Amino acid sequence: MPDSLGVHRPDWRTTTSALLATALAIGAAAQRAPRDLEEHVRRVLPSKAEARWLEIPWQTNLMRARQLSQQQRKPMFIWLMDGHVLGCT
Amino acid sequence: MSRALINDPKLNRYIAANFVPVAASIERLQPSRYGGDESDSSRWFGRVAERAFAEFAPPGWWDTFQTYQGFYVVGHDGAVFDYKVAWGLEPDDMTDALAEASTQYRRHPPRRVVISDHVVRQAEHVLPKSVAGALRVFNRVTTETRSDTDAHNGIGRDHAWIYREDVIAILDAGRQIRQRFDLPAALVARLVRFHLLDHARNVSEDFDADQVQKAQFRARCIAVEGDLATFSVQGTYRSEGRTQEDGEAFGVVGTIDLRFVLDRSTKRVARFRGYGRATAWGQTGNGAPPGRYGVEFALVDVDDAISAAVPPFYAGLNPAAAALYRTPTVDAAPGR
Repeated sequence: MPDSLGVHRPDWRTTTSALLATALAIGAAAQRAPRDLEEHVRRVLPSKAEARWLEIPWQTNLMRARQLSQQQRKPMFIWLMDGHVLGCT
Repeated sequence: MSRALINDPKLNRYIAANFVPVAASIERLQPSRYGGDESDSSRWFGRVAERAFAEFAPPGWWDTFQTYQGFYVVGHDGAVFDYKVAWGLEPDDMTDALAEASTQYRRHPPRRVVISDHVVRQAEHVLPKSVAGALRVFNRVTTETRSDTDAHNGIGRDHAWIYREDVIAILDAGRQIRQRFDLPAALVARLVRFHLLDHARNVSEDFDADQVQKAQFRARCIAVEGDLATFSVQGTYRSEGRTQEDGEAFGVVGTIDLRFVLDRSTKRVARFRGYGRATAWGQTGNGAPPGRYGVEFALVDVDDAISAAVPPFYAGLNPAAAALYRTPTVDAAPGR
């Protein structure tokens, strides 16, 4: 089933074993990533305080948002930028 | 817009509790600005924007900037209850404005309309099947050179795509452990032209093919376990262009280390980490530090609803830009 943004996710019941095996293998491979690379990456990533705005349950499908707005009897708050608000802006 | 405004916890809780929050882009809702295709969403929103500018925009806003960007409070039928450009607004002012718009919404509830599931499905954005991995790319001005201003302490964000043909080419070239090879040319060009850019204050201009003087990305497979192959890449790059607005020279020169795991059976990216360090210059018009300044980049794999729905900036501009994003070139020869 698509999630709230229309993304099709796999059925976890049929894929859990395969995913677990893959995750374990990826984890083993990732352990070879140099620790300083991981630390450098972590330093650049947004802090929790810099990512609070992502805790808002943003809709990216305007038509789905209209449906929800009608159902929930709440107005839409639309944030529109040059470059997607949730991507590069 | 200030970091304080978008990350204010009280304002964010208020928005989440009282509105259906929608995040969008000009490229999708005002496609004429960048040569994109109209859609049900853009046609509907165009009528909303006309109403918003007529009732709420500052005088001369549309004539000066010709952009729909801003904050809107809108009913599902298209009625507009507020519009703000919101540059320089404080969180409390924004909350007060939203409260007033919410009051107006309750006083004048929108009429019931039919919004079919078909229209909703048509408006969904999903990751193209040709994409083998989505990355989230971040950049910062480095601590050594930045001031305390918002402009120097922002964080640049974008998504990047790695295509199935990139993965196949890497797996093919890297069959022998520890044998060095050049990363596929299109992937290198995509990184240096569209992603190793300083977006910390605003969307940076990209580089043209002839503005890349150096793009050398040497790769090697360092391990194979079952279907998973781990690759290590060291890259060096140098690009310099001129801004379209005022012709100011801007550029970046730096290095990058990538470590990623590819799944040989699915031809997909299983894990990706990248860290780059560079010296950048120019773009002082959008608040970049004067002279030469340090920039750091981080690239990480991502598989969530946002990354599926939101394309990389240059892939999302219009169909021609999307095609260029997938198969870009640089004039600099490999190894230069």
